[in-house]
Amino acid sequence: MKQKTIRAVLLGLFAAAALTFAGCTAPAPAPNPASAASAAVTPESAVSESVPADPSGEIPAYSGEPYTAVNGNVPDFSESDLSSAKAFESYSPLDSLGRCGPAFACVGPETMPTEERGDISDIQPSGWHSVSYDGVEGGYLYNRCHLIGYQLTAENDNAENLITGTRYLNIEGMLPFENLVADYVHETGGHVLYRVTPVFAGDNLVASGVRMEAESVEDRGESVLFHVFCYNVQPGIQIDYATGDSAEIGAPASSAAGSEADENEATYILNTNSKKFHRPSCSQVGRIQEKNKETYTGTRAELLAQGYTPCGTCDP
Amino acid sequence: MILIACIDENGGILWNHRRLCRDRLLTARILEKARGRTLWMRPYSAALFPEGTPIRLAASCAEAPAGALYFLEDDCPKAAAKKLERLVLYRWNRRYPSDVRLTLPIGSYTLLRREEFPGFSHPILTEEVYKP
Repeated sequence: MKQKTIRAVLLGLFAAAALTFAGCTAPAPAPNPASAASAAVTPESAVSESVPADPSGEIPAYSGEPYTAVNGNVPDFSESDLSSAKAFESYSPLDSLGRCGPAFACVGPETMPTEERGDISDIQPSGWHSVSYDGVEGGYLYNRCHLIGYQLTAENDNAENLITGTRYLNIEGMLPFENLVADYVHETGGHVLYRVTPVFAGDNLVASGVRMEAESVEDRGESVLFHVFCYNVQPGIQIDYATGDSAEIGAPASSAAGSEADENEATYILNTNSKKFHRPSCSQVGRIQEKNKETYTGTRAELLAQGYTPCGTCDP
Repeated sequence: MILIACIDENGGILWNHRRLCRDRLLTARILEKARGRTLWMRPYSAALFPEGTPIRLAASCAEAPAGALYFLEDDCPKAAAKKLERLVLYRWNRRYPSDVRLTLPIGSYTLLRREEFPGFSHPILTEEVYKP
């Protein structure tokens, strides 16, 4: 790992130099709204299943889906960024509050792991709390979330690559995109330019979410192209983003939100055997036997009236 | 019409107008099962198959006649689903992002066969054959 660390530092310096050089020669890239948000957002705390507001208006409020496309799903990479398929990794130094910055890499077969994942439990990212809830898959609210997933660059206990992220952010938000990139590289041997930027509002210690950008290099985005924001929320849990403190959403608040949701039409996945209903993105959906699975579009109230109960994982 | 489709754990097919992934052993298996018969598909899908594959391009599966093999890389319109004779479903057994998902009522179909096999970039792929 020592060699890997040295290589990462050197490559990071190389990438930083390349970025600086690019800024002098290439047309100025579009401003990165994530950076603007970090600097300008007024801190908010004690919010429920919503993240601090994005003053740019680019990132919509959380509405039950773990991620949303931004910037037309097109990354902000410059021509210079995309000019080479040479693998590199670059991680930002922690800021004065101990928070991560953007992690940037050209992911390829060279960067992928060749050994089992190591222990990362010694790292305490900003806002870290070890806290568990019954309704959270796996129990623990927070994971040490890799900005660039282990399956892509084999980074273990790199504090510049780990943030405090909810289980929901990790599994429902970020992992699908990491899988998409990893499987493309495994299948083709190609490279993917990949950047993950944690977005912190004001001095908050817990990120509102992460911006993920990716573009396959050799075919200029024909196979892989995305620019998304993944919400650092956990259904059913209130998070104070300033500190990382959390609490289960209380019964009165839950029922008030529930009554509004009960009236709105939405698509759910039903388990006709267990009589549970899920959000389409719920991790439990893949475990339902096909013979027991049904797609349903209608109101939550109708499902409750039919004897269905909401899944404890996705809290539809 | 016999539909052939590949989905992830959420029923996803596409993200940002792109397939979620590919696997060369799965493509080879589809060709093996087709046994030289013409595969109908959208122009986007054609690049997935080697040169010389008998392909008939169509705007959607609604154009496929009875008995035709259609390789589906978008959702199947409800009207076209009425023509469905068999569904050959491949599961990636992975979770990807998706904004186009298969909405066929698979839960109401009869599962005729299920088989797992190794892929090239996926440890285990699943093939399922359904009768509506």
